[in-house]
Amino acid sequence: MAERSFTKEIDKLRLGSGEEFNGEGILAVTKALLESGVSYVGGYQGAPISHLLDVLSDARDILADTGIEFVASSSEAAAAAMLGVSATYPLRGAVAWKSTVGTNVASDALANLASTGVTGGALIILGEDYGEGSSIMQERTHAFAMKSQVWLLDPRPNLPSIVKAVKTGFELSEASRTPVMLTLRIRACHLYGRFTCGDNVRPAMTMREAMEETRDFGAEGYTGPPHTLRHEQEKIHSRFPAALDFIRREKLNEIFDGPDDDLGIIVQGGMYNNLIRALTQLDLCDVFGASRIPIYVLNVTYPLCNDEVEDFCRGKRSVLVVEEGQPEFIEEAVRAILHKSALATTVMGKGELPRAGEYSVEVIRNALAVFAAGKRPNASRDVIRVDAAVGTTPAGAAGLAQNIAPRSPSLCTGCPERPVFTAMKMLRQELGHFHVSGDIGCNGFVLLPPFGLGQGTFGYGLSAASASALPGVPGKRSISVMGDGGFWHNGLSSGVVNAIYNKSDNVILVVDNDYSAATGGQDIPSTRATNIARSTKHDIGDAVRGVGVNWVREVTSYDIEEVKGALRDALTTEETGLKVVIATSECMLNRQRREKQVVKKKLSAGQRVVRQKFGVDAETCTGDRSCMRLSGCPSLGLRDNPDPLKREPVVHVEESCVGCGHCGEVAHAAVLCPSFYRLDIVTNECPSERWRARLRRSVIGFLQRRIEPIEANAS
Amino acid sequence: MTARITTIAINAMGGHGGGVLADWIAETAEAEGYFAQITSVPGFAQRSGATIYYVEIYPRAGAPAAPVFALMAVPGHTDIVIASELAEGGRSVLRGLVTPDRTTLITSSHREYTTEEKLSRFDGRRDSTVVFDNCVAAAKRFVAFDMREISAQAGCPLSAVLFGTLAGAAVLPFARDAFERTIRHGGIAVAANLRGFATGYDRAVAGTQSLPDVEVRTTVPEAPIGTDLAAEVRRRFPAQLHDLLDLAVARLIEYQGAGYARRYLDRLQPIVATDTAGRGYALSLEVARLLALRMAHEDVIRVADIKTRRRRFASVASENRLVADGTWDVTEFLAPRPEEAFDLLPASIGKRLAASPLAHRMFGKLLHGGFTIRTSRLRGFLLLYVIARLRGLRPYSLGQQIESRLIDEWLDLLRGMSADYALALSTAQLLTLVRGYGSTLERGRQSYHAIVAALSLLIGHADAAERVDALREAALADEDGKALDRAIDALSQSLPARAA
Repeated sequence: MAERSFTKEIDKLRLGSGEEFNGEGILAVTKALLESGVSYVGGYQGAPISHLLDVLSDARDILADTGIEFVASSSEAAAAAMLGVSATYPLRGAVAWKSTVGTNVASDALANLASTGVTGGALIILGEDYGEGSSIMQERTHAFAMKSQVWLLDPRPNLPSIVKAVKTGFELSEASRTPVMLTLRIRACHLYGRFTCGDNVRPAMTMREAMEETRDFGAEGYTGPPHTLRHEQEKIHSRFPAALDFIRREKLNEIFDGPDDDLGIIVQGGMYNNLIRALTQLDLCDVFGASRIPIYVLNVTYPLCNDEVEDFCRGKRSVLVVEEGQPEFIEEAVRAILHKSALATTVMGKGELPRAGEYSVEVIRNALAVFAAGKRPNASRDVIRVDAAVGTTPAGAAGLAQNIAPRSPSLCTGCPERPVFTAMKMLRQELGHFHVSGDIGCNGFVLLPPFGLGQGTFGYGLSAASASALPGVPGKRSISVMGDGGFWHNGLSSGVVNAIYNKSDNVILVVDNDYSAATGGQDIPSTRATNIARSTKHDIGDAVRGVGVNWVREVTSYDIEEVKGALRDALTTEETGLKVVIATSECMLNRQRREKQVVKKKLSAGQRVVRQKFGVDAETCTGDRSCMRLSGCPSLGLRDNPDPLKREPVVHVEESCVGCGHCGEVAHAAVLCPSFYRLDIVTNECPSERWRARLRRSVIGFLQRRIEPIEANAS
Repeated sequence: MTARITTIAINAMGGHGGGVLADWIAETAEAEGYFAQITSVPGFAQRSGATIYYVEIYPRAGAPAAPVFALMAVPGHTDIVIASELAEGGRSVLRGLVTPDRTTLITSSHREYTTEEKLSRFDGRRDSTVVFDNCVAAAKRFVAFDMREISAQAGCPLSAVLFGTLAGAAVLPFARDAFERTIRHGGIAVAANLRGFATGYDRAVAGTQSLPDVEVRTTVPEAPIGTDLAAEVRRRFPAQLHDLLDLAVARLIEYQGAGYARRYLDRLQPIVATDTAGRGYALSLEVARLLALRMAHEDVIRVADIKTRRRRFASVASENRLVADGTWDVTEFLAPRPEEAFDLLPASIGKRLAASPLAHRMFGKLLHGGFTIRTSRLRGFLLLYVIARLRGLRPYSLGQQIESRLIDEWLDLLRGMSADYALALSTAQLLTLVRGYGSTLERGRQSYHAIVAALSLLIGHADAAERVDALREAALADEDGKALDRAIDALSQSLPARAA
């Protein structure tokens, strides 16, 4: 069950010709796929393309109506390899994943596919997670396009342009027998806008029809010599020119002319809107995009059409290449093209623009202010004046920066991974230092405060592999933390099997929260819920035992003592061989989503509901905050100490508490303090329950009155 | 001349409904004949605390086509900034999104502290007043109040209050009705959302700029006005100390009795006698405060007493917004160690048991795993109620003996420092290290004794007070006491001559 339900959006996927679609960019892509006659779709979830897969898994009916096959791939490699059917059959296929991390995983399959070439259009939709707020290392998909020679579309970030890119992407792929990558930056994926729909198109060939036809590619499809050598020739001499012809003919790149044509700007499609805003702020453009300086928009950033670049630059004194990310492949290519054609146009780019980092409007604007210094009609008006004011202290106040603390990511309130990491932190205090290898996903937060455990993360599902050179000895073993998502993605083979084969004596801790939680709570093979379209409930314990792990402990994540006990045993036992501890409890976000509905129903039906919430007694809290350093739950807040004799702020449990019980567990396991209490609040209680509660309250009240009035007059 | 694009940045924390708010704004604008675009990095707020949703709108009337909208907020070019928490409002100012020439800043003025602020062993909270004043100075228009409180009262997400505040601020060219229609059209929790909306609207119309109300919630016994002890305080101590001593005396009466409170005054008096009004009685005030806290320290009896008091039940009810005659249960998580049990026993027995590894093992087994006690039920209540009544035995207990010795040594130490007032004040504050429960308390005691032992190196040095403060900070810098060990080592390295 994914984080978001798309029942409302699914109706939008049925819209027909002339009707207007409104919604997110990534859903517009989904609609465009349906309008392109795609035969099959797949992919691996990850921001910002998770919603594409989520909506498709909710849209089973529509897919069945149109005869489209949807596969929830187990990894990006699996998704990329799936495009292989388009090599032989005239089937249009699309897959999606998060780039560049997913493209890394997929690149084996991608290289093979690019070498063989395709018959049916093959489209790879990439969510670029680059720039501010990114959750991955900063690299460029462009490099993959270049090294495998697949084409890279980077459309202008508005829904009509994005939808058009999907449709022409398939055509380009077929015209050049090459897979095509369509990259969308994170804000474009989550961009709300509108476009006019076409009709959904049934695939020219369905998967079933392909099965019945059963063609063989034969030796042609063999990616080994001598065929790979021939593929290379074909790539360069046939597919490449075909792609350039198509790009030119269909005018995939756009030129927006302007009066100040001694200058020009070459821009990646995805950067177009920020460029226009920057120009507007310099009075060089109106809000509709009519720029004084001509703009050449590369909706296809690889390959470049040399003649288009030449034509655009001819007669210009200078062009600015606005190319986000590094290295500057496009800028270098433009320089080479101009050099070969002996044009004297100066090329500007990195240098005027920063070499690294996101190209926000202000970054582009600052470069343009230099590049187009002579062109600004109101250059005397200091448009950038505010930049000078940014970060300085407004009159009458001071010290803002010192009083804004950075906010680092943290596990959600009630997250079942928190108690596991608390147990590990306590175990370190007990047993001394042990190596902790981190992984990708929510469990990666083990590295961050308040836990601060671990040496880094080196790939999805790769925690155990990245610790595999460390020899384990009793009392000094490493713990590799791995999420259930990472486990199925490749941790089982590269982590567990690798460790078994190499007779590792280390520990793997699988944090099993039932879903691929970090990417939006999608189902995975070990999900305990029934999913009618997939086969779930595959036990992680069975899987590791099946590949030869003899030492397996399955524990409940919320039970700190149990987790601690299992990990202590794993670290200290005399038994040699790999130890696997599986800590299981359902992702709290998913659980809340499910339980909220149940509670709502019960409440409206007048049934008895018990809500749990934690609290802290300010009077016994001494403000030393050991609890926070062991837990870091976002619902633990601070309040001024209500006791005038005390100075330290006291801990306060905020309204957002979901009653997971972690703070009570910590108080017990760490022998912390008596300040935490749990409230069980009953709604729609039965009359006798209410009556008993009242009776108790009056007896307790009587006992309290016996003490307190006497003491008030004690002196 | 074309119109300007209206730009709206929403800086929201997870759970505050920033995405919903952005959708509401865009839907309202579209219904009122505008083009609208939203961009965001969703999913991020949940896990990393805060994210920016960004909305741009532009009137359809007379426009040849949709304008080219930008994908992210631009410093100096943002018309409206909406923040769901004060530090996020401040962060928007810091990013330059809020400028006095055009930005209306709407923020909830409550704080949700960052991990960094929470983990500090001192008061790591940043200063809300400074942030607030910067917001006032930076914005063209500023509306702020505690929206979390309003949303809790209305039973709606914070976004509904923000939406009402936006409508009331009248910075968008839409009538109140247009905003409310959007909420109704959504069809989810309409009544609660409209309640929160209305309060936000009214506050914005009134131009409210306020920090959250400071809670006036006393969890301590009230001062014993008009009693013998109150009179004694007035007779024996300067007026500057009276308020504090009233609180202290009341607490100690409740803790042990009038005689115990009088002992407190007797212990304090020699310190006050050497202090002067010229110094503002700074040392006396600090010693009075810390002495009262340590003499009323939270032993098992005290904890049981606090947990069963009327004011405790009342504060649980008010803090959690419970209905007075509703059905609810309170469960305590108590995990005493063998040491706490020994502390309760008569000193001679307690001392013998504390020295016995066997007793430690036995009690350890008995107390292992802690207890969960339902104070709202008779059995649990009576258990704690009876423990609280054991206070008659407290004066003879091991725990009381240990505490008493600590306190007397501390007071002796202070009396010996009359030559260096600053050093005495810093030394007095060392007692703040002794606090908490279990291992926290144990570590605190160790740090305290380690620093006291190092004092002989420092007495007579001009910067002795600062050095003591530095040692106290080192004691709080980590969990294993290594920073303090290093600091003391460094000290004995640099000052050996004097020590000899």
